Amino acid sequence: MFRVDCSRLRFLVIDDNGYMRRIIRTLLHGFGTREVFEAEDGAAGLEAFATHLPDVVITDWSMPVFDGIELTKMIRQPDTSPNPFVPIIMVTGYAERNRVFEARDAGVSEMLVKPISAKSLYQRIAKVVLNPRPFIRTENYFGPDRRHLVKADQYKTRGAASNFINSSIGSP
Amino acid sequence: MTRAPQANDYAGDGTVEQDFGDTRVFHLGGTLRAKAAVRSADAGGVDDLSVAAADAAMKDLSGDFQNWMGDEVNRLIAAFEVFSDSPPNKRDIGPLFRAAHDIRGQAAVFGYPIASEIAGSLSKLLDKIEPDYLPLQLIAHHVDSVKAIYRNNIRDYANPVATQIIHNLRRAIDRVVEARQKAMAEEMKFRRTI
Repeated sequence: MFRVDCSRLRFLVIDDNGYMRRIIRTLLHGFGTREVFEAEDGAAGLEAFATHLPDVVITDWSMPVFDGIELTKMIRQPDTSPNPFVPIIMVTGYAERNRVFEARDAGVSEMLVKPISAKSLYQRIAKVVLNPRPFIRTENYFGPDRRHLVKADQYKTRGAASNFINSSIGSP
Repeated sequence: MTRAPQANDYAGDGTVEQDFGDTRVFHLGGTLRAKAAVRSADAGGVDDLSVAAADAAMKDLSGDFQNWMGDEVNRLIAAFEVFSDSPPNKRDIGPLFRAAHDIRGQAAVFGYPIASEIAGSLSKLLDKIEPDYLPLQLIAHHVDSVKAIYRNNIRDYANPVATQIIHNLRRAIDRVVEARQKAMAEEMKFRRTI
């Protein structure tokens, strides 16, 4: 069994609410993290992301200027982002099903519904560090596999299906 | 001719890329895991000591929570005043929604779960109804309720006044949403006939 030593990780926290940033920072320092950077909106967050190259991004959804969803889409640009694979944990008050799907389709790694607790935040960090999902790149999507429970064998099956289609219609 | 999925070491960090033609799969190389994973006897991979330390840090911070909650409530009141004082065609719902949404998310951490629930109800109202049709009176009830909960320091669901406030607000919102949906359906029906 493994645990995460947060003192070895660098975090970027993006939230327009100063109190929320303070709470998340306090929890991260409690976990032993030394390097926590902050930004108060999506635009500043994107700049801080390029400057500090964090290991994990924790962002709010609802923010002025541009929000957590738009920020995630910018970070998940495989050809221009400094690290399109970075784990993104979205902290939000939205728990509705359609909102969860929207976040998933933008490329969010994990959702954390408020009110947050030390344990729930630690669990999300542990998940993205210890068991990261493979990333998928298609014409319309780049991000963590949107299916949470895919075994390695299923990627082989997916390959077999792709091969069959290619052999039937001819490879380019 | 069959094309086998290609696997190669992407970016030289152990990340393996498989190419299936229209889809590529990247199996991450475990850079973060190598950087921060340590063996542990804790069941489920949760580091109890780290969580306990973070809980203790939050407890130290909690002395400020009542003042922070006061600031958030004042922000909500101010946002509502600006909203209600603006001409209907110039109302910006953003600051009011964000103030309510923040209380919804944080008030429970600050020790005011009932205020969180009322603010959640207000967020839903602001999210579901178009700005032109928002009932100001109902918004005012929500803002006043959050204010009353905070000023009377009501933190417990067992408080009968709080329970009654939540119940009444929920019923009122459901009625407004239902009436609006009915009006929209009638409007659609009317448009189809002309």
